[in-house]
Amino acid sequence: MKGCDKVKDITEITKLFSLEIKDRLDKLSLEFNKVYEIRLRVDQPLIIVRENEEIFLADKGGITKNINDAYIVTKKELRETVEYISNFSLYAFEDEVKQGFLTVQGGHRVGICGKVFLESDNIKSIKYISFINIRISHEIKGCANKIIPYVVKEGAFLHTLIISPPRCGKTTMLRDLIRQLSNGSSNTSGYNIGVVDERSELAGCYFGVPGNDLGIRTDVLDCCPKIKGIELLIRSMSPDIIAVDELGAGDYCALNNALFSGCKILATIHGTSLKEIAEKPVLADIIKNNIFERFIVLKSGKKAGVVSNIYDENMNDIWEG
Amino acid sequence: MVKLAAGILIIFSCSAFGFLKASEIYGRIKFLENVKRMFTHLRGEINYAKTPMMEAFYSIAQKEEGILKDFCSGLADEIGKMEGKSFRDIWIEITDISLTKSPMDKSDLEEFRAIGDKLGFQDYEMQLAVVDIELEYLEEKINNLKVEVFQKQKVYRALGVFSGLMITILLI
Repeated sequence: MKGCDKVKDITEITKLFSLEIKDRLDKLSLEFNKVYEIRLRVDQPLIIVRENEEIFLADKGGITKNINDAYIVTKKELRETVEYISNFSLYAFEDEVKQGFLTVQGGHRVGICGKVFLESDNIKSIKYISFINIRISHEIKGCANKIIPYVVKEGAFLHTLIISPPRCGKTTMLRDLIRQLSNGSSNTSGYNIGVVDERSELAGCYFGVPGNDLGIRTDVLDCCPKIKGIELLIRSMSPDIIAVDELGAGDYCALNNALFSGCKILATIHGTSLKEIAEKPVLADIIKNNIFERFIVLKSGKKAGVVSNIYDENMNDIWEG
Repeated sequence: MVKLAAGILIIFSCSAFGFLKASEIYGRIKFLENVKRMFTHLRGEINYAKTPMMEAFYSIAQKEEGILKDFCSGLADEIGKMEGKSFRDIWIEITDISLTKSPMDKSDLEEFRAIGDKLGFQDYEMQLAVVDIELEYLEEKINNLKVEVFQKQKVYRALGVFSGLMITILLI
């Protein structure tokens, strides 16, 4: 996967942190395009996860790999960081907080943990937030170039499932596929694509406006459960393709709804191989019923977004990386 | 003749001063009522639309006039800059810039500055509770001032007129 062209302005990320941490991060000559996550935990070191390693923010400035030299995040700094992330308006993100994450400007996702308060077995709120994981959104235009010829046959899009272990670039790949299919090319006209962005990761919507480029013919339902979103999109936007990220066992019905309406499906799922997915309950049915016509498996490893194999509907290997 | 003119002038000036002091209290009440209206708007923005602080204060600025309009838009601008300042610091900074020339007295200003400590980090219920408490407090304060003003305005006006007379008698 080539370099990312998304994070152009590092202040977009550093402004989310308390002043003490912000100043330290601003002074780093860190390539945020290669940074995947920044993790903050109360009284623990600030960890930066980049391409293929973990590094700590150093107490005396700069970065270090030695935990003894690491900068320790205080409770006050974490609280201030939560304030900045929510732009002093945590109450406005209450629904997102209940789900354990919120999306900030630029489409970056902030995962949060703390004390959970329940009401009739449902999460009412998360308070005393003491753990934050900022996942930096990577938009890599052109990363799906290799795949496009395999997912479009004679001008028609084929039902496609991207299989990938966590942090191997499946959302980035899906995002670029959506963008390319939506915009179309000199050979194909663009498709109307409906995206159900349950976790605001694909479009990275901030108050309804996508932070990532998903193409000119894409409609986004932000923060919406797949089953409800697919129904709503079919009814209101008549999409050619419905795109969803991270399918789960409970999404079988939602997929069937889309199939009955004649929409094509573009989805991703956690997994390491097609064989593993085919053995999972419920998902095995999806595969046996030949719902999907293309399976794109991403390689697990240090480098994200590397295609390992492409299979057809009969699980025949049609491309091997 | 000159003495008489000077005497009339002194009586008039002292009386005017008395009336001015009484009208200051009215001005203070009026301004606190505007502050209360601002918090009522803020409550609506939080309660019905869960509007974030920056957007909420921009929206309130559209409905306010004069000093409070400057305060709300200044606050929203500063929040939007995201320069690493805490909400409390931003609130105090903008209060000092915009409200020191308002009809609020020292104690009003101190209490207003302290609101910055309670906004900007709470969840929905807590944030709403903070605004409600502020509204109740302002309501009580305005009512007390209204009672006080009836007593004080008479005193101020009477003092103005009588002190003018006293000075004139002493001078003549």
